[in-house]
Parts: sequence; C-alpha cells; structure tokens
Amino acid sequence: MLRRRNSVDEVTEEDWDLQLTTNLKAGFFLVRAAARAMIEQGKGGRIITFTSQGWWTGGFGGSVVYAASKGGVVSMTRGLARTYGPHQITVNSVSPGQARTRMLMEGLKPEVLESMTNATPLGRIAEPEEIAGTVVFLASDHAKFITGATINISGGFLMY
Amino acid sequence: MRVGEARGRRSVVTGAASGIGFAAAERLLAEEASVLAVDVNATGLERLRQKGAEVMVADLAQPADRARVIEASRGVHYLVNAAGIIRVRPIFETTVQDWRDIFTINAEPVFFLCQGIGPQMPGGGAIVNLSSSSAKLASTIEVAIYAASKTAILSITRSFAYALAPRDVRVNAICPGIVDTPMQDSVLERVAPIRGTTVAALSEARLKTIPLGRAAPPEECANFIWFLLSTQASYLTGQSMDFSGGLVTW
Repeated sequence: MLRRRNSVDEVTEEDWDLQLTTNLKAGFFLVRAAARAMIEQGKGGRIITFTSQGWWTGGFGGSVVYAASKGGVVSMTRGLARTYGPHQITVNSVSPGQARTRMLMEGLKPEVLESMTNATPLGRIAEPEEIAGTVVFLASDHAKFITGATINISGGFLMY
Repeated sequence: MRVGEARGRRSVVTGAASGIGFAAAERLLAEEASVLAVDVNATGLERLRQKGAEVMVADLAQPADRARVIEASRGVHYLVNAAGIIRVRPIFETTVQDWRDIFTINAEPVFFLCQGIGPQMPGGGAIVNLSSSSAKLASTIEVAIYAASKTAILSITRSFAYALAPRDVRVNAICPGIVDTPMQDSVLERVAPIRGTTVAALSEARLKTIPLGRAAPPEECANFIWFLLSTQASYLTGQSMDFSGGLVTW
C-alpha cells in the first residue's frame, strides 16, 4: 500500500500510522503466525515479504514514510530469517523496481514514466510477471539455501 | 521461465572441472543447452565430456587462451564465470606474487570474458559471475586477497550490467557462503593449523554461524545460477545475490 504526499511537511500522524501498520506491523504478525504453523508441521517453509526500492533510496518527498516502512520490512526479514532458520523456514524479501501495476500507473504523468525508464539500465519498467518469477523461485525447492536475502528486481536501477 | 527455454542454446562455463562450475555445467546440460566447458584441469573436464559437453582446456590467466575461449563462444546465450583459485596464508605474510596470481585468475578473466563475449550475445542473453560471501565479510583473513578479488567481481558485474543492458544482456553475481566443494575442503585443511584448531572443530564453528545450520551442495548453487540465467529473472541485472543460508543478508 502507498499513501503519496507531495512533501514531508504534508505528512500527518494518521498517514504514518496507516502505512507503518499496514506495511510493517501486519507483516510481522502474519509472518509470525505462519511460521508457528510451519514449525508445527515440521517440514520447513518459505516466507516471502515485499519491500521496495525505497528501502534503500530512503524515498522522495512524502514517500519517506513509505520508504521507512519498507526499510523496516528488510530489517524484519533478516531478523526472522535468523529466528526461523533452524526450522528450515526461509524468509526472504523481494524489492521490485518500477512495475506496471495500478499503484504505479494511476495518475502517473507520461514524462515521469519516461524519466523512470531512462534511469533504468534495461530501459523499461517491469511487467508484474517478472516480479512474480522471483517469488516463485524463492518459494521453490531450488531456493532452500537462500534466506535473509533482499532480491532487488529493478532492471538495474539499483545495484547492490 | 519457460520449460525448455535453454534447449539448443549455447553456453560457456569456466572453472567447469569441479565444484560450482561443474554443477552449473551439469545443470545447463540438464536444461538441454549445449555447453562449452572450460578449465585448466583436463582430467576434471573429461567427466563433462562424457555427459555431452564440448570441452576446452585453457589457462584463463593467459590472454591468448582467453582469446581462444572468446573465439569459440560466438553466439552463446549464457556465460558462467566460475573459474577461481584460493590461497591460504596469514595476511601479514602474503606477497605481491600472491596478489598478482590470485587477481590474474579470479578477476582478470571475468572482466575480459565479459568484454569479449558480452557484446556478441543475443538479446535475452545472461552472464553469472561467481563471487563469494567473503567479498562482503572479508572475515577469513587468511584469504584476504581472495576476498578482495571477489569484491572486484561485484564491481565488474555492475559495470558490465550497465554496459550490456542496452543489448538486453543481463549480468549478475552470486555470493556463495559455505558450499561443499574441493575449494572449501582445502580452505579448512589449511586454515585450521594456522588458527591452532582442528578441521572438524573449525568446520563445526563455521556451520554454527549459518542460520540454516548447514553447508550447501554445489547443485543447489547451480539451481540459483540457472534461475539468474533464465527468463524467470528477466528484470534482474547488476545484482550481488547471496547464497549463504542466511550467513550474509546484505
């Protein structure tokens, strides 16, 4: 979820609470509940959280709050990966760049889209299926040794 | 990823005679890609030849040998740079020769094979370079030069990711943690006496630092390599991907 505000000065306490609650707090308690069920089943498991490029960039303007919540997701993912590793439950995060979703495209000016595209080495925004490809990989048996990772699917916009 | 997407496509794997390079070559063969397996060790390559790979004995430290590999790689879709050496020595005893030997094998060929092969690759092609967790941790100080060479690979990966993105050729690096390979065994055998401990004790202490509590077989790393080469990772480029069971999370 994202609540855009043009500037930091416009951000209200209600904006803060809504974004942190939805993006971070809900994630923590849902992951914990899922992990408890997985531990009980005793067959390991796969948990995938969603962060954003903002976790690294810190966001711009009023999206600083969104970015902070997504930075929290990365921290949480690393900590929970350590917590649940001994149970063979992996916890990883996916960090999409600009993708053709409603959240991005709604009200987006063509010139802004163009500047995003120009800033991306692959020269295009992602299709949602390209984000899903990594999620499916992380959920598969092939990724059972990968945990605590934040996988950045940004067409090279960020490299780390 | 489309089932069978590698069928009939050509690939090159360096360091293919053993360890992660061998597993990557095997995995590409299983995906029905044709594989050019390159290594300095002819005996190790023989196993891959029997499995259907084309093999080439080459010393990647030599520019002339690299030129042969580049020449034989025209039209390849996938490149895996897995060749590497490690030398264990206390950090205050390492020499300029150690530095040159290690960088000449570990970093130089990655740069020049990306440079030579990347521009010939078709759109949708992909490169995976083998770095290491040590590129980020650098905590095993007896292999400090190895770690430095592996950090260089991360930088080389980013530069070629930028350089080849306009061709839609992706370049990513993998940072394996503890993987059961001959290189890993040799590190344990040599580091243990330097630290005045046993191989068993050192191995156990290292495994305790891994949240998943185990090392990985090279085949698991090959799965990750194939994911990064495949269209499933079509929007991933320039990344340093951890493969460490949670040992490194950044």
